[in-house]
Amino acid sequence: MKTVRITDSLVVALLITAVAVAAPGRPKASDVLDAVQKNYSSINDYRVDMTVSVKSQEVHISNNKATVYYKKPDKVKVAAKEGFAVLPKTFAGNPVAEIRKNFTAVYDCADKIGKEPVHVLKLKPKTTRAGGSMKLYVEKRRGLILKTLTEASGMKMTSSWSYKKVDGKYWLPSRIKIDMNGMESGRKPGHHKGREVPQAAGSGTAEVKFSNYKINKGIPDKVFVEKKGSVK
Amino acid sequence: MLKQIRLELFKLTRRSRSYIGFAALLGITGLVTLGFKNGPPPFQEMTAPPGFVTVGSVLNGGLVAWFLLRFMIEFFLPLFVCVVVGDLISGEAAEGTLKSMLSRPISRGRLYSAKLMTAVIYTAALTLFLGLASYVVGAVFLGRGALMTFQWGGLFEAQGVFVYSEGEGLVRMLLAYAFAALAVLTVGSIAFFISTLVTNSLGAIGGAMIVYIVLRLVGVIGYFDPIEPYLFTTYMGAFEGFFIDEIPWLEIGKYALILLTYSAAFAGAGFLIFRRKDVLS
Repeated sequence: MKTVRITDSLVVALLITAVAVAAPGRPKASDVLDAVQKNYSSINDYRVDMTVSVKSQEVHISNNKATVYYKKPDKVKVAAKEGFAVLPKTFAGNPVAEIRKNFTAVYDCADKIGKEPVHVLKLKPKTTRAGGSMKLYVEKRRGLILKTLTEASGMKMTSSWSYKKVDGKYWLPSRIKIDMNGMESGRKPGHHKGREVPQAAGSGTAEVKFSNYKINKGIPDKVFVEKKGSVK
Repeated sequence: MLKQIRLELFKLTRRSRSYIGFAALLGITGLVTLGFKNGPPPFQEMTAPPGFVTVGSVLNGGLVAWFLLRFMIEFFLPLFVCVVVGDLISGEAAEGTLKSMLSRPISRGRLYSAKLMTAVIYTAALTLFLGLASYVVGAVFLGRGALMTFQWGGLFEAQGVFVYSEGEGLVRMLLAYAFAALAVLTVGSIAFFISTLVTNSLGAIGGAMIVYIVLRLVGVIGYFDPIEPYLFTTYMGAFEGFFIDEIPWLEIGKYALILLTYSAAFAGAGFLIFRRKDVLS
């Protein structure tokens, strides 16, 4: 009887050891971010044109244009092309630098977007300015951010990223589609001229298109000097 | 007919009151631009939904032109149009020139039509001047750029902030001002109608403005809701439809037709009176 118990324990211990040895190590969040960073490591600077369209219950924007300038290590400038531009708080410039600066990243799980295996990271904001907590979906194959999921004050914002290969070697975003849900609406239910006015739905979509990338062409530092009122 | 219209327009240019509206609108435009430029930036945070940021300034010539259209159509534009249009016939009657004009070989119908056309041209000119002046003054002092407008409710139940590129914003602005001219013309046509009845232009101006203000007042009191669809004042704000992303062309067309019908009715009634009017002096 005692022999059987010892044998059982040995088998269980061996099994646990075997599973532990066979299973791949859980990746660290910093390793995943390093993989994303790799795409930007040979980019010293870039500029790109952005076109933003937003369609929500309370904000309707059509083809709002801006230019983003980025220079290593963390210089970013967004210049509106027509006086002002409304832009999503996604990571402009180098996303990894932004994430490391504003968030604490923890590895959450492995998942799939379509057929594409992804790492999922949980990002917790270091300050309230950084916004709400976020989930970041990073493609395993190329180390590209494919999706972000932000939740703050009851609002859910999902952004889906598409990429194109620029200059034959840099994978950079070509389009970001954003779905917003649970936005607080200023319109309350009530009556207007005898008609029922429903509570505004508080959802919407946005699209950011990137075009005309110019990489490693050199951007003078004076571009990043903020003029009064140029950046809010 | 064209010659008569040219003559009426020439006479208009010789009267100092024709310029009061232009000068006042330019002055008001300057004041608003000064306030926007030096005061705390208005509407800046309205553009960004949660999760978005606004870069740059929403203040520019387009915003000034839109802002002034919304406010001037309420009172000043109709007033300045009435000041001139209400004087076109009654002023001549008061000065005794109407009798001598009608003694020439010109039909009353032709004279009336020429004066009516002058009223239409003046109304369009003054309204479009507001648009041009506000855009240019705003652009000089605040810059040019994308157009931001906002609406809460109103005729089309549209809601929120609407942002357009500079080019698209300009086209929409032009359409809105053209519609506004049509709306203001309705008030002007009341002044024109009354001016066939009286020999004092103050009576025509005051009468038209009283009718306009009373109808506006009636339009906001719930008790009078059943008659609201029949008031032309209900549709004067329909220019806002041009600032909705999907322009409600059908509704705007319908409202424009209603305003035109009112203008035509007042002009027609004025003609009936003018045709039989005893011009004694």
